[in-house]
Amino acid sequence: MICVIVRAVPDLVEGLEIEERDVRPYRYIANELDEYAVEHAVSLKEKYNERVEVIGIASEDAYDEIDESLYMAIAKGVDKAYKVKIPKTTSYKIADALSDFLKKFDIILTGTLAVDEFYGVLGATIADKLDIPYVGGVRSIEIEGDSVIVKKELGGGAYLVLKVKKPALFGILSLEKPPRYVPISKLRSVMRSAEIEELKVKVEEDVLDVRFLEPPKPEVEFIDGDPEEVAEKLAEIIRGLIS
Amino acid sequence: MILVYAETFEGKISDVTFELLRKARELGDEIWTVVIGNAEIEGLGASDKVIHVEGERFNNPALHRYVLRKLIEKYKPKKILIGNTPIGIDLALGIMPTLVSCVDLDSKAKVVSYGGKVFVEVEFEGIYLINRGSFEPLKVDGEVEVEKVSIDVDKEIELLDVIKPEVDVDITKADVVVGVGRGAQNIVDLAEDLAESLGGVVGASRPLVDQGILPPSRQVGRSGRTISPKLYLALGISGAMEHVEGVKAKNVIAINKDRKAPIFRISRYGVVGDVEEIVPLLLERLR
Ligand SMILES: Cc1cc2nc3c(=O)[nH]c(=O)nc-3n(C[C@H](O)[C@H](O)[C@H](O)COP(=O)(O)OP(=O)(O)OC[C@H]3O[C@@H](n4cnc5c(N)ncnc54)[C@H](O)[C@@H]3O)c2cc1C
Repeated sequence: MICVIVRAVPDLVEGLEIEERDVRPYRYIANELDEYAVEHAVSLKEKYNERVEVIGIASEDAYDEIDESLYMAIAKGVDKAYKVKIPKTTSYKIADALSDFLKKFDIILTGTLAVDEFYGVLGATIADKLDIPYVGGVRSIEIEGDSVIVKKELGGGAYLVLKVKKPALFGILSLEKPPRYVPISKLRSVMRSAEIEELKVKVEEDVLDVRFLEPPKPEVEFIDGDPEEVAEKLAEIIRGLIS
Repeated sequence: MILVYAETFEGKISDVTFELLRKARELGDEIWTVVIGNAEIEGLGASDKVIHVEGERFNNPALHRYVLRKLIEKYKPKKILIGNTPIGIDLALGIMPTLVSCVDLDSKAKVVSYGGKVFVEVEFEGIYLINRGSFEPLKVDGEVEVEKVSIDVDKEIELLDVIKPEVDVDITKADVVVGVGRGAQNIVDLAEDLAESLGGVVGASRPLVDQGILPPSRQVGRSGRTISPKLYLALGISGAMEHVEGVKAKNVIAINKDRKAPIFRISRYGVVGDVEEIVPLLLERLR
């Protein structure tokens, strides 16, 4: 049985409000790499007939927003969706709270990293908590008996091919083919019929001693004007730089 | 004691290791560098001691996290410095707090997060996954005490194969690179033309490679290649740390519709605007 962990993360396109002790996103979305993990899980289901469950993790202010990606996961073929609400906390506390639920799965997938993740890596932390193998940076997965064959990215198009004994947890980094397309009508019908179960586990709070800061102002020289003017100036600069 | 993880692959110590040694030296504590797998121990003279965990089996980087875990339990180092690379990222552990995307550490650790849009200062001690390029390398030749240690790992992860990349174009050698990001995914053809007219090549951010729009050989960044052209023209690229780590260009010009995009922090010139509008006009003038 396979489980995918999906986190709600700040949508960086929409911007953030940076306060000394907090970062407030204007909007949340599902972590892109977690959505890749869903894709891999669904492929495994199609190929090996594995049951796939998904668990969404979201803070209070993203708790509704995570639903869409869970419904999307179901529309893609996931068998069951759970969700869990978290306070201000860290991967370590999430791992503590979820390990009991997760121990029944023999393949657990999640994104290698999330955009707001700097204290602990969720997948690695959960794997260590469950004392099962962890490999991150994964691009492809095949099941072979009681093992899993994965391709792990080394960068620049190089890969390690690894054989890992189940149960194991993998951090997903990429896809081998583009994500599935789900028609809106299908998503709507899933939203009407499917249910997301709230997992009743208590995730402890964990507040770090952190300060969030605006990055320094860039020392860039902005080129202003209407597009024609900008193009003209840019062309001149470029010619200068490469001659 | 500070433990420095010497990243090795195919018997060679990776350059990021020497960057970590520079910082470790600055911190002033005793430094033990750990080498896992069969590797030539070279340039580690900045360490007080090298712990070498040999063995054919440990040439598999996927087992290093389990060796490291045992070493931490055995020696109880206060700080562990690791390069934030495709191999290093898997050494984030559950038994000890791990800080990801760290760019400096003194009394507080500094982190770049949220795709480069937020800087974080944190009171921290544990495992530091340090971004490449954060410190000048410190490679010191000469004798250093090597202690061989044997470690048992029960996790069954077997290395079956190493796949080497197929390289169509070597973007690391180009004088001009036109980088296309998610914001420029509709104008890759124009970017190709632009690159051609400047005698350069097209590079890409990770999402474009993931979507199969461009091959992995074109990816710039942590899990791609490092480029050092005279000019890098970044089109619709946000400038996440993972990307800019691979940009060692003399001059960067960025076009992005978000004035706050982190790419502008490494740019000499910037345009806040739509690439779909500006690039065609620019191409007309440069052809
Ligand atoms: C372990 C790991 C390794 C990674 N390795 C790499 C790597 O090697 N290389 C890499 O690039 N990434 C890497 N990443 C991913 C990285 O974190 C970012 O997600 C990625 O770089 C973002 O790519 P992007 O800037 O093209 O897309 P986005 O972040 O989506 O940014 C798109 C940008 O385009 C702008 N834009 C949109 N439309 C327009 C328009 N019409 N005109 C002008 N601007 C527009 C937006 O304002 C935005 O700034 C890695 C991530 C992980 C977790």
